[in-house]
Formats: sequence, C-alpha cells, structure tokens
Amino acid sequence: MTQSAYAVGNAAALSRQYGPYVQADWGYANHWYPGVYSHEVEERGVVGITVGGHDIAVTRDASGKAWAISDRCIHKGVKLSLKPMCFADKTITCWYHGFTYNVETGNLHTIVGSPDDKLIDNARTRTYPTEEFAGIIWVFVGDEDYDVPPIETDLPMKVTDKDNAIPHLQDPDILALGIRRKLYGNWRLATENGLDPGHLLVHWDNQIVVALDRAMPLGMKALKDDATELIDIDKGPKGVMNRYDLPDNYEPVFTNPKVEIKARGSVMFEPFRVSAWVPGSLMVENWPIPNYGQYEFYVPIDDHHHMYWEIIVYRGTTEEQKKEFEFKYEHFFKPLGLLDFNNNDIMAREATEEFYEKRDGWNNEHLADLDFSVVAWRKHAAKYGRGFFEQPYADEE
Amino acid sequence: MTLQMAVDADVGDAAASFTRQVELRFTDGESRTIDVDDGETVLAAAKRAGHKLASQCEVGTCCTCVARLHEGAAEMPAGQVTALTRDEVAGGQRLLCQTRVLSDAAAFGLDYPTSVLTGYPTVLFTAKIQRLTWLSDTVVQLDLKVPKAVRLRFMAGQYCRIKVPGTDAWRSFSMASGEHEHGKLSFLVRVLPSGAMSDYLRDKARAGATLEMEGPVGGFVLESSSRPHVLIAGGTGVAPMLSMLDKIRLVRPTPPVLLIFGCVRQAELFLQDELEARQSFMPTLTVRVALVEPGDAHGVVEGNPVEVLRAEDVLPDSIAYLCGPPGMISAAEARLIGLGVAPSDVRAEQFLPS
Repeated sequence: MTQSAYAVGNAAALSRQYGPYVQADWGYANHWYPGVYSHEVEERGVVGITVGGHDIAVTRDASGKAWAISDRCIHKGVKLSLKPMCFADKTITCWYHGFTYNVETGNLHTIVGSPDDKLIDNARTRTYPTEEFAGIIWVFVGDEDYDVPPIETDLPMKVTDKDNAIPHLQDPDILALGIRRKLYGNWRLATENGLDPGHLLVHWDNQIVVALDRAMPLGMKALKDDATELIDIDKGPKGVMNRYDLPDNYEPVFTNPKVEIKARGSVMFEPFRVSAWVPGSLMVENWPIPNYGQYEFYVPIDDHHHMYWEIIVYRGTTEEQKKEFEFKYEHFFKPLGLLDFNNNDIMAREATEEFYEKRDGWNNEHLADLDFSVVAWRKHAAKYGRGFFEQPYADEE
Repeated sequence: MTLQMAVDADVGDAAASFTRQVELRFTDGESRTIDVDDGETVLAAAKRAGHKLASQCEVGTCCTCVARLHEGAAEMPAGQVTALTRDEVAGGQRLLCQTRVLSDAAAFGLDYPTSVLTGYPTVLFTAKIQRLTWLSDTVVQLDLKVPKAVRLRFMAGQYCRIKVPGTDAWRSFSMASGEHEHGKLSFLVRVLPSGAMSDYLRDKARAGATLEMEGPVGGFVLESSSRPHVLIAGGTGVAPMLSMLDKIRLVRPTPPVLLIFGCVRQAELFLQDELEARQSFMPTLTVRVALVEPGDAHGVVEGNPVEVLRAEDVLPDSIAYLCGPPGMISAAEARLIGLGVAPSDVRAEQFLPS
C-alpha cells in the first residue's frame, strides 16, 4: 500500500531499481562533457558555459590550446566571461577589479591595479581539464582532485561491426558540424527521449520523413528481452543500443486497427541504430541518410535545463568533400533534421519536464511495455555515474 | 599530545622554544585545547592538532578565521593591512591565521559550534510527508520532502529527530536516503503494536502532513575508504547502511562490500528487491540475508546476522559498520574483533524500539 501526494502512475517501486539515476537530477559529476564548439573561442577569447552548476570560462592561448577555468572571480564572484579580458598570453583578467589568473594553474597571477597585494600567489581558482577534437572543446567537470579518466570512456563507442560505419568522434577523417542550444528540461528526459523507440508518433508528419518518403513505423515492438543491448566495454564506453539492425529483435508496427492511422513512407533505408551513452549522449547511425550519423549530447546545466548538442558527422579528408558536406549540412541536414525534426523532440521533452519537475514524475510516471529500452538505459546509467553534481546555490527558493 | 610531552620533545632543540596552551571555545559550550609552538599561528597549530577551523585565505585578508580573545595575550603582525580595524583589534578580535600567542596560556571564542569541525550543523526544520510505503507488515518507509530553503546536509550514517505530531515525544531515525538526494529524506520505521510514533504512522500519518525535525545528529558516519567493508544490520538498522552504500559506490577504487541483513522471519523481511537491485548497479556489493526462522524462504541463510558471518568474510584491513539492537551490536563487535578486525575499525550505532 502506498500513499502519494501526487499519484498518477506508481513507479516508486520500479524507481528503486535505478536509484542513483533518479538521484542524478543535476547530472553525473566526474565525466567529460562537450563545452563549446572550437569556432566559438578565438585566441584570448572567453566563452562562459555552465555544466552541472559549474560555471566555466573557456579560453584559448597563443599556441591555440584551449583552457577551462572557473568562471567565478574569487573576489566578488562575478563571471569572467561577462566581459572577456586577456591582456597577457595564458591569463584571464576579471573585468571588475583586475584579478588576473593563470589559466593553466588557476593561480592569482596579479591584480591589475594592486600589483603588491598580499593575495597575489596566495590564492587560486580552480581549473578544468580540456581536450579538443571533432570541432569541439571538451571539458572534464567534477571534483578537482578526481583521477581524470580517458575521454573515450565518456563518448559513444567506436562502431566496428558495420561496413561504412559512421566515424567515431575521435577519428581523424571526421567531418562534423552542429549546433547547441540551451533548453528547458532535465538532461535525463532529453536522453531518454532520444533513445525511446516508443516515440515515433511524434515524427509521423515531420518534413524530412515526408520529403524522403522514408518508411517510418508507428512503433518498434521488442521481440526479445535483450533487444536493447547493454554495452559495457572495459575501460571504455558504457551504453545501451537498440539493435534495430537485427531482424529477430524487433517487429515494426505499421498500423493499428483501433485507430485510423497508418505508417507513412515506402523507402526502406539502411537499418539505422540508436544508442545512448553515459554520461548522457546519443548515437544515431545512418541518419538522416545512410552513411551519415548524428551525435547528440544532453549536458546538464542545472536540474531543469540542459545544453542540447546536435552534431551531423560524415567522413572526408579533401577540401571538396568538406565543401559538399557543408553545403548539405546548411541546406538539408540542419533545417530539416536538426531544426524541424528535432524540434518535435524538444516539444516532447519540455512537456515531460513540467510533470517530472512539479509532480515528482520519477515516482509517479506510468511505464508500459514500450518503455523497455528506457528502463534498460536507466539501470545501466545507474551503474556507471562517477558522482553527482551538487545544487550550488546558497538560497534557491 | 599533552603539554608535557611537547616540552620533552623540544628539549634537544638548542634554541629552546616555548609551547603555549590555547583553549578554543565554541558556541555549543564545547572547547578544544591545543598546543601552539613558538612563532606558530593559532590556525596552523589547530590544523596540526587535527581541528579544521573555519578559514579561507590564510593571509589575513578574508576574515573567515576571526575569533575573540578571551584570556591571555595574542597579537597579529604590526604594519600589515588586515580586514580588521584598529578598534576591532583593540576590542579583542583576532584573525587566527595571523595570530601568535604571547602569554603561556590563552583562550579564544569562536562563533560556531564544534559540529562545524567535523560535519554539518544541526538545524531545526519542517518537512512534508511525500509518501508512506509499507514494506512489510511491520515496517514503513517514510519519504519526506525538505523545503529548498532548508540547508540540510548530512553524512551517511547520521540520523534526524522527528517530533511525533500531537505529542511532545521525539524519536530518532537514521537516514536511509543518500547524501545527494536533494530535498528528500527517507526513513525506515518499525511499527510496533503500541508506541507514540507507531501509533501516529499506523493511524494518522498522511501524505502532505508536516513534521517537525531536527538534524543531522550523530557520530556514526561513513569514512570514504577503499578498504573492504563489512556492514551488519538487524531489521530497520539497514537504513543507514543504504545511505552508506550510496556513498561507498562512488569511492574509487570501489571497495568490496558485504552487507549482512538479518530479520527474524520471512513475514518481517523487507527490501529484498531493493537489495537485489543495488547489487546490479554496484557490482562490488554482496548481500547476505539472514533469517532466524528461514521457513521455506529462498535466497536466505539461517541464523542471526552475527552467526552467518564467516571467517573468510573478514580481512585484516576490513572496516565494519554495525546497526541494530544492542545484543546484535555487542555480539558482532566481539565476533569481528575475534576475527582480527581492529577495535577502532568497528563502528556501531544501536537502536531501541520506540
């Protein structure tokens, strides 16, 4: 017998099965996350981001290396990124009182108008490890003394079981273009929406599906309890994959006689696969069209907002391949895929967040058979988070 | 270290230095006495003695370590700009990171309680019942929602006091929820045929009701360590173990953990699903459920939680946490120490029915 203040469904018993995931409202700490696109940060430029409540300033030195440092001046807590000032290489100066930090060590290097101040070399702010590839600056966010694991443990796996596999984000011949936008909604709801095989109805009438006449089922019925494969690579990525490529695993649903709706489209494309990865990303293989891929990252900002990363990838090394990819991206993948198609997912996430935020959705949702994949993800993700981001505000009422 | 020992240790030093005895007085009436060496700041001496006083910049700028001189003489370096005005210094205020003691003995007043030295302050607050879940015929899980304005932080293993509504009785319950479950506290309560809290939970408690609370309290806390852990719990004594598991799971490298959970009979057993789930998301966890009267229950061993502890469960560097009724605690302590666990590595919290 359970009494609840907000009962709609009753998932309290199920939610025990993945307790740490339910606790991760601010996101998992001690993981690598995409911070900014490379092109956003020029030499001595500063771009501010927030990951799991950590305000971080990303900058670039004269050698081209990217650095990440706390975006809160220790003096009065203002954001350094509000008015970027880098007067010397590998430093960042607060625009307010001139506190100047070494971006590599975080050491208080000088104070512009108080060069003999006792605090100089006696105070520091924290820094964050960075990496840069695939046109993205990546940041490791979490405890400052955490033993930083290799970044590939926090990326979608490298696909090796298919010919013409989509490039891994660390592959040298990757072509990658994308956007990022701050959205309302918890990072978990965003990740689950991306993976969810049950949400195809949202995309039934989307422009890209109609334009390509792509066969889009109404749903994917799992035929085996391991239709969603749990992937646990030793010292590597942890994720779950909907194996749509194995015909014994799923039965597509094209019609439902109880309601007057039928699946649209006649063109069967190369089977695509969708997989979700710790700490919160998605890999969609052979999408929007065969041999292309889409990566998505759902980076927690706070408990009710995430940064939505949408990246289209392809392989190429020549200038001609790069130009052709850029053209298709600008005039096809971005407007029809990243914007029109994904905007339907965004609508769904924002609608879900309202229930989960205000009515304790994690304990009151009503799951169905079609949620098998999402539940598999939750259990898997419960196992591999390396820590929790903390609510950082002194007063949040 | 006593004053005498400190002086003895310094005898061989050519420039015989002084050691001064300094008392630190806290707002909860507690005090700590430390030895301050010649030329040493009070803050540095306190740190050396293992007391983490409030401090930040340690160069005399931020004022976090301010204290008031009650007895004796102590000065800060002259000619240095600090965050204290001349009048404030004359009035007895000192920054401990800069302060050296001149008299043989001195006393300082700090403006916070000793709980700050070890953990989080105890606060009075109200919380709402979010959910009541009967886990067995006699055990109820109480989930509470804490308002965001309440700055409640606790360490796994600690407890809260809850006032029984409509009475003047307070009862203590260990948190079963983890340190990181923002705004949520969970407790496991054994409901007896009679008793103030039992009567309330059985007959009156409803989701949405408000409870007066005080917490966190208690020195039964988990220390983060990668040494092998043995957790032994009787009945609802499993509550603090759940909170501790949430924390141990994130220690790297994650230590092996054996949780022995004992109940009398199957009808009183609870949380089996939860413990099974925890083994799935915490691969280093082994759970052994012990029933004194196993009947035809599956997946359990016969006996009380101490009897089912085997010699091979314990390694020389094991650390043990115990929570349950007094008899279980004393038996478990004797058994663990007999198996070679250092007495200081056996931590226990006992409870009585209420």
